[in-house]
Amino acid sequence: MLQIRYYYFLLYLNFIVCMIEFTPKLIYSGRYTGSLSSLMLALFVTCLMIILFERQMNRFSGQSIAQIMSGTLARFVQKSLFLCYFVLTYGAGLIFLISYTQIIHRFICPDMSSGLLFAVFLVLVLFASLLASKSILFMLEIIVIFQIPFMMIMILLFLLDSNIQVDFLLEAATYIRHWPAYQMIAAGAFLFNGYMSRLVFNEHLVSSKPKKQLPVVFIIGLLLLLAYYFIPIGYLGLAGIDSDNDVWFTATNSMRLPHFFIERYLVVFLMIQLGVSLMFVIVCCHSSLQFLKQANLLNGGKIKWIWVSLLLVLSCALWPYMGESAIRNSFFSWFLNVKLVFDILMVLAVLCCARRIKPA
Amino acid sequence: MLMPLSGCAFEDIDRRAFVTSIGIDSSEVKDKKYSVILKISMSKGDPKVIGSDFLMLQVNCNSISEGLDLLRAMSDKKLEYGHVKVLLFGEEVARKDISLAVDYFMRRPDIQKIAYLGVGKPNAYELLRFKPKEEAVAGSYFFYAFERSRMQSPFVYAVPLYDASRRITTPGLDLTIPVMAYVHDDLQINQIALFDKKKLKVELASDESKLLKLLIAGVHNDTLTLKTKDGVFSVTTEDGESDYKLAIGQGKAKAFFSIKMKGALIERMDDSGVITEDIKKTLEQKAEEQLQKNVLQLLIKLKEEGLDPLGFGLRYRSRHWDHSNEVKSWSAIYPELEFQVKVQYKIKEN
Repeated sequence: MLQIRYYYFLLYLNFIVCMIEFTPKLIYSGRYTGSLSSLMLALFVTCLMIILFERQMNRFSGQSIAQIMSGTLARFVQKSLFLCYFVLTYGAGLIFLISYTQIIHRFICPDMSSGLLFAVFLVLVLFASLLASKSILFMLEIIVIFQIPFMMIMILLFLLDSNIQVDFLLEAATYIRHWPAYQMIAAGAFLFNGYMSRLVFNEHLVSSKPKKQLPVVFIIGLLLLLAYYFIPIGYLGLAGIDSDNDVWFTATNSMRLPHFFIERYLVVFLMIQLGVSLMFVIVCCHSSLQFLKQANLLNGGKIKWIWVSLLLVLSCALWPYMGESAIRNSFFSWFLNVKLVFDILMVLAVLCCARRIKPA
Repeated sequence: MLMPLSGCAFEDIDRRAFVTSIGIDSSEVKDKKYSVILKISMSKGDPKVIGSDFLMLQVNCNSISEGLDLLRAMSDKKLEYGHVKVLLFGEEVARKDISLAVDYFMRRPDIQKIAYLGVGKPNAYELLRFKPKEEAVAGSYFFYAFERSRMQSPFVYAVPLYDASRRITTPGLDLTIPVMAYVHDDLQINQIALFDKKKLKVELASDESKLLKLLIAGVHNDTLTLKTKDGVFSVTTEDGESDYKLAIGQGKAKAFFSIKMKGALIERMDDSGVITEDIKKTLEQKAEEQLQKNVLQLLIKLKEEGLDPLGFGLRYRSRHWDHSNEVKSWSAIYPELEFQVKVQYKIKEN
């Protein structure tokens, strides 16, 4: 049994990794039509879901999700739910792996072919995801603890930068009075989607104290959300932000580290984001394999390798199609919409199981 | 495992040529648009013998990317743009259009967004060719000149690439770029060029630039010459800052400026007597009057040119909830905008 902090690391990881692609672009595409209010609403919705979810999950401390659901839901329903989650988590991992490869290709080594990079990372990720859940969590802890100071430095740099005009931020803030849209809420909800990883790691975590910890989670979430929305706007301006595909990389490329031997913050940010993204993809891959296991489809050595090679082949087959960022974007926005629905379904299912167990 | 991948990507450092500044002039060749100039540091990778020797490559082309491609063909090494610290536009290019070039550099991933922009007079080539007596790395002279300008220069403030880009895209906030002039074998950076989104419109004189810097960024250590009935004095301003408020009433709009400055050392410029408290009082009053008059003149000049480097339009939008046609309504308000300037000048004991 591990401390509950690993659960919050998962939450944090999911938020941080969303800086690299899609979510910023999607969110800023609605900056004149209420993406800010949607983000705020998403924060409230996810906090509500987190508290609901955690309270139910706490009753099943030390049980896997299949154990939780057995007896309540029909085996067929369980299996299909797990399979859907397998596809969702694997899809998220793949999308991030691809976009992350392309970012490395663009910013770090433009001379290497991106296909080769992708292959190397894919092999690394697939083998790392075969590790035990506990080892994954330990890896995660190291990565997140390394990342947190750099996040704080970034926020400080932003706050102390004399070139940031408050008017830019205020202008963006005045658009909060628009009505939220479902698409944006789904994007915002994905930022805080890390709590769903508890489905996989529940066996290894002690039960949490949601009432005590939620205010802290909420405040940190709000701060991160504000930083997430306003830092790029401060550097690029509200009108200029949409011409850019890698909003965060351009914004960090505009940051100067005044008293340090590296002058560009981008270099630091790239290195840190590298570790974070790989970790996220590993967690995704690991979760998808775990969902297969829960669905009883991953028993024995041989089948495991069949699945792994299947994933390998599938990823390589999808790579040329997903290379285009426009296709990835449309796919990802569809993916976000579906993901939120499934998350709500999952929370309801767990709620259902908890209700059933109560009288007994 | 990541280290070899993220390292030098199979290109050794002695196979790379580090570009330290890029200059863009308009081409003298017919039907070519630009002339792109690269200043390449000849450093060998040994920090002890970096030296300020440089190499210049120039090419005529129709687009910047085409020019950079042609330049690549002129070099045996890989041109590395990650260390570009200064982007210079020749005056002629600046008078045509620089927004496309800024956009190109902004979207190019290997160019730093903290590179400084400058307008080169008479052109970028002359300036890049300039070799100061002492320089750490080729091109670092420009960079440090801009870097220092934030605290030291009373005339200009440096504009990094990202700032230029957001000023071009944001309506109601106009671009300003310091002018670097090559006069009598020396560099002079004491003027600000005002842009209307795309092209250079006005070059401010150096004393107007001083005032604009005061309004936008505040000043440190600047000198005022004051004539009073007791004689002529020169007062050093230690610190000055400015702030403004917009008030939009019924059809009438007014901007209230409040400028606070602190004077320190007074230099007598003729044989007038000892500086007494009374003289200090009159000097303060005189400074306030003079500044108020000049600032008002500058603001009216900006308004009449239709330029908005102070960002009144942005301020207006950031304080309004209704966004349906505010850009339009602002462009109706700005020509009618009235100004009120209040200056507080205090001379310290010394």
